Amino acid sequence: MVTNTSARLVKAWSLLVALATANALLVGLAPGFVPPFYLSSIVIVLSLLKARIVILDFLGLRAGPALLRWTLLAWPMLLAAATIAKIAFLHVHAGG
Amino acid sequence: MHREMEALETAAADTDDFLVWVLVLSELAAFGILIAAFLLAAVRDPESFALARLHLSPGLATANTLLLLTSGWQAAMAARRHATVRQQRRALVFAALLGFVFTIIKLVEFNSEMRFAASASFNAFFELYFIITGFHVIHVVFGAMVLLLVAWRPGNSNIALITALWHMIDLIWIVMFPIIYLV
Repeated sequence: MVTNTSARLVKAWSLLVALATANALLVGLAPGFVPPFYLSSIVIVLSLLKARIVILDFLGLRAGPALLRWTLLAWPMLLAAATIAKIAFLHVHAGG
Repeated sequence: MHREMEALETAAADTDDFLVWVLVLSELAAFGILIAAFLLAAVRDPESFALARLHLSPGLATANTLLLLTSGWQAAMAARRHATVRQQRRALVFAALLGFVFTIIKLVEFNSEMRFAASASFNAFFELYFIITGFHVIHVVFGAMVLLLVAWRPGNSNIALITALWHMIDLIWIVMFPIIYLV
């Protein structure tokens, strides 16, 4: 059982919904204004923030074992780094 | 490396749910490999991947993200230390129902995308897309059914186990969504 309070979970869920909405708005409205490389990087960072909230608040690892917390946090961070590397590679390859 | 593994085992043992975390980490590794394969394939054939992505429905996927986040919130509410059995049951059932709605939306999405999968130029994209998202939706269906089973027979250890797995499913979707649909 996790020691989270109802209020903390509501706050975490609200933040997640706000981040998901910001993501949708960015993808829907920003392409004409923000260069694709930066837009993609922002979208990846937003997903990283959502992943962090799920791990720390929903899984209750904010106060959990540090090694377990960092092992789980490493997974989205590695994939985010790989995705940004892919975006940068394609950006350079396209002469951007 | 050996010392790190020992520390991880000790940390997990402290929380008395070592096998849950082993399962979570092995699932994350499996999905990590699939997503890495998707990224590599996208680097090899960026034009075809960009074109194929135009046939996806990011709007439906965004709706699914909100559903899964809300479902995860309900699962976390069920796993609170001081939740009553009634609160646990209600939260678990709600989490499961949202999981089933996620599945229905995903199937609607699959149905509209199936006709593009036959195209030779989009083959690599859609093969990986259906493998990754299909594997994920199977996890959602299975997880939602177990959530209902646990709601029927709630017990603290069972709730801790299924909610940890449910959050892992949530986490995988959060990470795969922008990689597959957006960037």
